[in-house]
Amino acid sequence: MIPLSWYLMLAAALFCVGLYGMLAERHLITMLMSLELMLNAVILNMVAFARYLEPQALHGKTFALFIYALAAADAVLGLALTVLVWRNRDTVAIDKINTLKG
Amino acid sequence: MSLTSLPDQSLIFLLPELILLGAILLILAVDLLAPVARRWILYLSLLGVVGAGGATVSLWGVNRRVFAVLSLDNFALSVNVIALIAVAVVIMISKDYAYTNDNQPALFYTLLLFSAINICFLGAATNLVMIMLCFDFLSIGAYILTGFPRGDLHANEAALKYFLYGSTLSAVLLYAMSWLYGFTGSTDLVGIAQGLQNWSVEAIQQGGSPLVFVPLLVLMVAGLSYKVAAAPFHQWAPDVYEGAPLPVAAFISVGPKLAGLALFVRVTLVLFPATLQLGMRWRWPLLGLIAVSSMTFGNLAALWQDNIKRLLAYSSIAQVGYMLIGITVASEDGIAAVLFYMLAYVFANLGIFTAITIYESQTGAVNIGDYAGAHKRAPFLAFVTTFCLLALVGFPTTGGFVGKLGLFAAAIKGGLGWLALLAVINSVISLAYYWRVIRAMYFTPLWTESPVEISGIYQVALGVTLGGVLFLGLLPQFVLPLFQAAAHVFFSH
Repeated sequence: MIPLSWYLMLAAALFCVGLYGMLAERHLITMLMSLELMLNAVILNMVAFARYLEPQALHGKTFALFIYALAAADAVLGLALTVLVWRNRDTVAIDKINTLKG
Repeated sequence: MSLTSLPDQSLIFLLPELILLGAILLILAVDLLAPVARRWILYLSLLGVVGAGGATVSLWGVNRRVFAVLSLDNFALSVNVIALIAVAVVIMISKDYAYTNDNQPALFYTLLLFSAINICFLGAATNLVMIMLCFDFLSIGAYILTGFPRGDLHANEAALKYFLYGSTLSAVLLYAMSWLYGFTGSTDLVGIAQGLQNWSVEAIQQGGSPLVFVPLLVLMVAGLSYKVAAAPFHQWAPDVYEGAPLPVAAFISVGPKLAGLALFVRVTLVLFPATLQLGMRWRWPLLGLIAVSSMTFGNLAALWQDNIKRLLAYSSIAQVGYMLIGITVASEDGIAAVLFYMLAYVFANLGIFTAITIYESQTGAVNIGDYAGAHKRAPFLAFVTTFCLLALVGFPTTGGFVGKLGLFAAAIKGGLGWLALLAVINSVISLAYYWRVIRAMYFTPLWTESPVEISGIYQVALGVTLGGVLFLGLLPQFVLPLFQAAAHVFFSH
């Protein structure tokens, strides 16, 4: 059986890639994808812990399911905002969305 | 029938939230079935909030776990009351906005009440699943409210920035939560505290170091700091305040902040005994650092602002710094002072926002200079603003004074006198930029004397906020014992 730590390392790597994408990327769609990566890392973590630490209990799995719902809500809202910005400005490059100072 | 004889799953314990939910359904039904009655939606939502407040008061004194994921205690009920007061004022001042924006008052008030439900739940939540759901649904409601005017470029941009910032940090918080679950095998805060204790005893016996928890706690505190807009994680606040519609900015300046602080208190105080046993005095290095950076940075940045909304954003960042002192101390007095100061802050900040909402809609004022001569054009409005600004400084006879006194006294008692000293210095600095607004209103010559009309419900909002600030300042002895009882729930076992 694959040891737990492998899953955790994969999740940590996914999370870091997502975080890097959120911080460094300049395109809105790529940023939304990075956000999904971060949430996927959380789900992977939860499921792996649940499988290895308490295979009988449901805490971790329930938690993971709820994160799915949340990730979906976040994605919907993010895409809606992207479409809104696209319609109003004809661009989704984050550098060009800078009417508010600061 | 007494409340104690009811089973844990009794719906009576969710009465405040259920009343708010009922109000939401009623509003949607009215909007769908009786469009002529749309102008009553505002009063309907106000009624819902008052009803929920009554239900909250009737539950006072209950101290038990309900539905396995909520801890219904005086602390949660205090948070409910503060949240409902804030939402009631926001409902009043959003009258003009909600009824002119594409004529969708039903959607606007539904989202506002939905956010109120989430704050109420978050005050009581003790399970990570519940915490995560309420935390994110509150954020989602706030993003939608911010971006509500679809054609408004500034609102779009503010909503987008808020969304990107907020969703990143809530993912960070979730990641920390997944590790907490991994360490302890529990998603309940009490279970996690227990698990951490057991885990640490074993690990330390085997020569392990409790330092493995430090990154975890840093991630957690980062996620919570975003919610309260504390300094290293505050960048979204000025843009959102500036871009969002004014009543929404008023809500965001108090609602998510209150929810975040409540969560901060519960997480800190429940996990605290466990972390202390780990030999980690992480509280004051981590939280104290955020408190200091928040008040210092907020105050210094506010000095350079001309836009009054950005000024208030930086001022609110500084105010959170003062409140975090109480959580850093983590004593009974400290928590009571946090609640008291939060209530005073809600009244004072909403008072200023009410005044700005009125003034901006009538005169188009954006910068501090545009408020010149306000005391001639709208004497009552100028008076309320001045008084609320003084409350934020901590002037005697206002609620801010009593709150700050409580916070500083708790800090000194808890051996963190240097924190209190820094806060006093910061309060003095803050007077400089609050004074600029007062000076513009009272001492700058006016360009025009045309009076600013204040319609009925706005007068009420001004009166309520002024009354609240005065009441807390002059008669704190009626409110303090309640918050003492609220803080006591964390120390009674």
